[in-house]
Amino acid sequence: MMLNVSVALLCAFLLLVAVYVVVARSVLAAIISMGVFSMLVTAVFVVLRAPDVAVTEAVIGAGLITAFFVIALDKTSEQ
Amino acid sequence: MKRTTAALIVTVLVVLAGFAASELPSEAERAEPVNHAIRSLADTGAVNAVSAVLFDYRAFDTLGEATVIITTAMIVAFLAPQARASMLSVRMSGIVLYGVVLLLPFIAVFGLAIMLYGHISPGGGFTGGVVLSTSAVLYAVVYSAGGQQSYVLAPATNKMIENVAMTAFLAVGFFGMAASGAFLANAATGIGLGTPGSLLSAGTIPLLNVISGLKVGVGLAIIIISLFLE
Repeated sequence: MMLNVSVALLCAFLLLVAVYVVVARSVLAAIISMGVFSMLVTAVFVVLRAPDVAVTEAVIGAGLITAFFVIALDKTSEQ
Repeated sequence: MKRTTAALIVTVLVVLAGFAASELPSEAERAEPVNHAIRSLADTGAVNAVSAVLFDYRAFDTLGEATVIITTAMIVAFLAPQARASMLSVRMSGIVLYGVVLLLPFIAVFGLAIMLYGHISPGGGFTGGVVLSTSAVLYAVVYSAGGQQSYVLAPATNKMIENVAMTAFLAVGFFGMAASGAFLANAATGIGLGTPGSLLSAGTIPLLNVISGLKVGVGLAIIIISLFLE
């Protein structure tokens, strides 16, 4: 019982963050909330007892992807 | 002339494919449920069933995946122009410079721990490699501002490690073939599976973990650094 309550809560929050990524005004805010999205997905994986996937998602989703987009944003923003 | 040699090669490959297809498991064998999770501890000695599948039952697929990483790294390193390394327009402030100094050892140790304990705890070669590459990228990004590039490992060493790790992966495969007739074999090669849960258990799985971890770490570092610093 506790399991699907926490998963439902996390998924609801995931949905909120996903919507915010789309409607965020500044691109940087969207990128950071994508990092938050990855962390929440990691939390869902941990709750569903898939630790390998959780570790991989945390490292790649929050770590590399966010870094990629931030650096890309900096390189493409006009000085 | 070229057309005939091409046709010849194709026919040879088709014949070989025919032989391989004839050895596919029959309908009955395929119906029998193969449950890796239950047998994985007995067969491979790896407590973490995921790394047992990754590096023993499906080690050949992992070899393919490692090849994908090495080809991507080659292509990106080749395409990204090395001319001007205007990294970030902004110069890193003092806090960042000294903060990263404190942060880097912990990230590297964390990556190594995940890699070395791959067959016991969750994670494994690939995840540990990604963490290591994150630490390499963090160092390169923060400390190479304004054209002066500084790396944890010089790009040439990166590429050398990548190739050495790739040949090591193949060497483990051929060792398996030499010792027991099956490419990338693990338990059959006679290397002790050790007591489950100890660091040196599960035959060649920790070895393959470290090798693929190095490959992913160095490969991703090459990709990201050549993209960021171009």
